[in-house]
Amino acid sequence: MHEYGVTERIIEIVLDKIKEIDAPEVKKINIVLGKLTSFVPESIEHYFGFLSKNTPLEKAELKFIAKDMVFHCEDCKEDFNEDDMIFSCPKCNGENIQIISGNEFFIESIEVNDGKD
Amino acid sequence: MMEKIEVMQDVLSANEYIAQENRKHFKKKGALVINIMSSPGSGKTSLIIETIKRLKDWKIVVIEGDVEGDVDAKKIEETGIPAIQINTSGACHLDARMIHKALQKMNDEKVDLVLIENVGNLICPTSYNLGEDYKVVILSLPEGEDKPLKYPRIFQVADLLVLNKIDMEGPADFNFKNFNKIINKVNPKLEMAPVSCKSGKGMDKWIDWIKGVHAKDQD
Repeated sequence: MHEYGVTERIIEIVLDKIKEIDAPEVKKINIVLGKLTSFVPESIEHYFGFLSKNTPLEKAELKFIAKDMVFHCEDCKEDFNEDDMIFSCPKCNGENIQIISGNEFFIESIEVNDGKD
Repeated sequence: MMEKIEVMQDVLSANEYIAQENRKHFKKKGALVINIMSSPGSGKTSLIIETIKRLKDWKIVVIEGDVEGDVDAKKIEETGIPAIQINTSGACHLDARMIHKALQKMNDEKVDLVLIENVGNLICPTSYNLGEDYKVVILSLPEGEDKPLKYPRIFQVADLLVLNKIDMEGPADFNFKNFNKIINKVNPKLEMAPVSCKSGKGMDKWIDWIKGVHAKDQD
């Protein structure tokens, strides 16, 4: 159920946006998702399938743009791009690690049919 | 023709906004707010009950988050302290909106301490701020010392780790040496309070921590 609430929120944001720009139908939703967030794309897709029924979003494809985790070592000042959580610096073994990226979760853009051929 | 429209909107920003609103409400009431998180069965309700018993002069309110039922809220109310039950109807965590609704059930009186018992889960509650001042995670010895390696995030967002059921060290086969190594790796700055809610051992340190952060909060 972790993804149910956020899927509702995604639909809400996109519905607001298409109302604002007066677009009839959404074809694609591009979502940036950091690997540290613990939200699972397949699960969001699953809830999206039935939550978007009978809305202008029901045929939309969800595209997830995965954002790697980037860590910064305060000791040697290096940045590291990693697929998994790290707890110590791969270069100097320092434990003063800051998370630079990987926490993102936002709707980057939508692709809509503008009604023209 | 397809047209690409920029949105750039955070999915969790609504939760964050409501969390900030909750924080303002709690501040007005003068309350220190602690969000207690752990897996099911590690002793969240027991810790709350034992805390209430030791802070007799404090005005405390408990917000109970459960998927279903009001078993824990009833246990809390037996202590004479009001408990506001939230049923998440399937959701595995509390979010700021649910706390906002619970706030509306509180009267205008001043409160010293609000204890929020989150839904038993080590993953989902980490993603949702509720408007709390502090996050506390409980790990009980029978769960094993490797949990911070399996669920690192919750041990990184927490301000304090309460290590519960220390009376079960022998039967639980909990390796403290290994555990300290793991915690040093996951979050070396994490403060720890080893307790036994059953025997009362270590509870003073936990209570002192609450009093300390409460005093800091009043400054």
